[in-house]
Amino acid sequence: MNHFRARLSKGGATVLLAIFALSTAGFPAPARAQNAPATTFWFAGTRLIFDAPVALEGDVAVSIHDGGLQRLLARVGASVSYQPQQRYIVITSADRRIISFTIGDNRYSVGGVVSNAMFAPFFDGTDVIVPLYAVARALYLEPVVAGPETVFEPQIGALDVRPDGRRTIVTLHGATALRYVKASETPERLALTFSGTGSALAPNRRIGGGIDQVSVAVSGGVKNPSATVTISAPKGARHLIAISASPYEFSVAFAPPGVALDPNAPPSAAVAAAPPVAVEPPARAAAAPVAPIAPSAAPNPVPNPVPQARGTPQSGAASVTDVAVETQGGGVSVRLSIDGTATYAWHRLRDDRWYIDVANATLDGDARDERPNSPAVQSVRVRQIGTPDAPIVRVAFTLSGERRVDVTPADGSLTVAVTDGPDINLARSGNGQIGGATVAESSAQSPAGPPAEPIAPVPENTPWKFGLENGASSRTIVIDPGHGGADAGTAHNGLVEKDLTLDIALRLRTLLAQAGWNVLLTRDSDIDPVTPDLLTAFSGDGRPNASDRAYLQTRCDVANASNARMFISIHVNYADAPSVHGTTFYYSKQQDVPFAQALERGMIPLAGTQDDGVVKSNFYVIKHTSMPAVLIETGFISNPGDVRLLADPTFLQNVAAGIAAGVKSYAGALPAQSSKNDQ
Amino acid sequence: MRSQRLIALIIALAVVSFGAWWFIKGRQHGGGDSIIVYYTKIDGTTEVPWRVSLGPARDPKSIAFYAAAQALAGPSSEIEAIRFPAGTHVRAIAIDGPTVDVDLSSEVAKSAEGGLSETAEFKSLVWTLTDPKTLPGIAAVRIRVDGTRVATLPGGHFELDEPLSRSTF
Repeated sequence: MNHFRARLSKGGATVLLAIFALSTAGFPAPARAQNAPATTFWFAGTRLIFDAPVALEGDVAVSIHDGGLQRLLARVGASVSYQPQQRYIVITSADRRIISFTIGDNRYSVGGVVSNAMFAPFFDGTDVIVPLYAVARALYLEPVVAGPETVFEPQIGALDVRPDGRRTIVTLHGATALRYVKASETPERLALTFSGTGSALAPNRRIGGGIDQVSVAVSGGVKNPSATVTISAPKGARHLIAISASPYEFSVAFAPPGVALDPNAPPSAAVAAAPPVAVEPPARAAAAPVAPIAPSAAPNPVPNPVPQARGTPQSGAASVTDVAVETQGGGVSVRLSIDGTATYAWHRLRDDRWYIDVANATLDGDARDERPNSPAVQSVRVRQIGTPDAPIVRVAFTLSGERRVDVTPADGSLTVAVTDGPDINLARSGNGQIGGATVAESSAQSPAGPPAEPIAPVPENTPWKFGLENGASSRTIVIDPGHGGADAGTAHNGLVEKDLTLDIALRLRTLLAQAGWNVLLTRDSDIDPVTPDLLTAFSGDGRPNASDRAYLQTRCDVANASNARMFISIHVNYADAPSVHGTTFYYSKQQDVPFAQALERGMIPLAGTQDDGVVKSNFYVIKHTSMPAVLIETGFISNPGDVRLLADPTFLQNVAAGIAAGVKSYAGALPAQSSKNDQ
Repeated sequence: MRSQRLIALIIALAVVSFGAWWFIKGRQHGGGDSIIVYYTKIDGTTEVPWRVSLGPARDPKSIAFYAAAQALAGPSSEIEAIRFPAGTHVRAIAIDGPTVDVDLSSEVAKSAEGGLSETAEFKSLVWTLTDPKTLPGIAAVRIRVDGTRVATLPGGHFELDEPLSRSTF
């Protein structure tokens, strides 16, 4: 902060110097500088220590790199893009609002709406100084002075009301995750109390259309505020709470009588399926609104609860007899006591949520909502989900960033431990078993997956194997089952990509071999193939990611070195939006296009999936193979309809048959094998 | 008296020079007050342009930085789009002739769950930075992650070793 004191004198020479300084050196500090603010800063019960705050022009000046500011941003899920000596500072909030400041300009933009800060961001040597209060307010954090303290009070900062056909969607935007309890509820009137947050909304707002009025009342102290939001709709209306794309948002749909609150109800799927209000569970605190999945949301760790399966346990179902949540060493440990045998699968979502499902298990107790006093975990939720026929106990965490999570199964228990430290090698999923003959945890094995359907044996004279085949002819086709070994690919809904791709590849190998093709697989088991020579060669070529390239190039080399006529890489797709489904045929080189189109024509009618078309992309294995090559994303592991298909061996067989039909269409008659070395 | 006039004249010249410099800077991206940012619809292929207001900094590097940051954030949350993983931000921007070098934070690797997401995310970034009205003369985008070049991301194996252009997609 030493550069603050750029004092302007009345002398002309000084003015001149100042002008030149402005035009050459950039944007120095405002002339009036003050001392460190005589206050301490607090947020959500935690004191924020700033490295070098300076009171300035009614705001507080802090470095963009100040540890206190960085912690505050992290707590509200915001990220900053800033490059030294570059004039824009772009902050992205957790709910994707864009806040942009410009060095030397008091104005800043929040989602396109311009406001004025008390001072403009400025350079301080190689650092950049920003107005703390303006940044906070843009993130819906109101700095409230309470005696010697300044508290950044999280607020409900915005209210959106938008028509959706005949429905009306009301969305609240908060600075932090919006946790609520229902204060009162009738079909046309919903009152919710959000704990830990105040409000910047007007106390009463008349809306019109599908909503009569939204009222907000704030109570509690500055350190523990709560906001009660009451939404009133015309008589006869009904409502449905939906989950938003972000836990920082809360959405509810209102509709007049006769208008379906169903996810598939036209005109849009903005609010997904859920039971009617009358069958929702009793009011309780929830880390995220307990509701259905919005189309653009990540998979919901806590889906709508089903009626408790307690009292009517399924034959052979395990029971979760106790749930113990403990804070230890800054982390959190959740121990499930389990009576019986069960399998489990866990998943790490992209927005720092993490959940584990214990399949075929019932919860012998109430659902739990915990907010442990831990810097690593914001909330823990335990729910009974699934159906009475297939009950599942789900434990869902909202983590404070990329925290390490360890799953430890034992005979009679399962412990999930979250460590207060970053995990730089984040596994995305894993599974295992509790009780019975085995106790195992694996992040590389698949859960039960689709039942194995016998795959027709390969004709004995078919020369398939992993690796290179000398003298392969133009009768050769290489099939590449995507991923494998430690690289599981995408894994959701009990399915794992590497297993599905191998299953399809084995079926396809049989069909093509029966048609007379020489078939090479880049892998025929659960491995991620790599040629040691490539690892050595690539590690010394000065280019990045030697290991990654060696693994992928190994697959390409199986085709390139055997002079294969075609290369088919089989994959399974994923999208955040569960509504996305279908089959895509990716190509890279122009010569791939006719082959991709032939596979499209062959596979789509047999598989019955939506045709998402022939699309150009830049995937390594189709870019670095010298023959016509196509990467098929057979279906979406994130779409309920496609999941049902992918779990069905008949579908997998149809996919293989469809690809084989496409090969036949593309290649025409099998080329004559004129000699041993026919290339 | 004469010296005061001289000083005033110099000040006036300086002010005019500064104004001219500022004006020229502003013209470098076409002179508008906004840029076009693209997002990819959830079909994974369709690019949708939306207009974003631009602050006063108009030099190409600042604009490239701003545009990249906007593309990473994506459109407002109620719009269905394929987005970069939360927390992905721009670490640095450099312009080397017709190529913009974008250094992304490591959060981008979280996107690696399938071909659709990787293709769509980078398509929106490349389309944004190669829009001729936003950054004239820029035709390609080189990606770095945490300051280093990468061959691919883990899941979809979309290759990032070489500059990406609109013809990549």
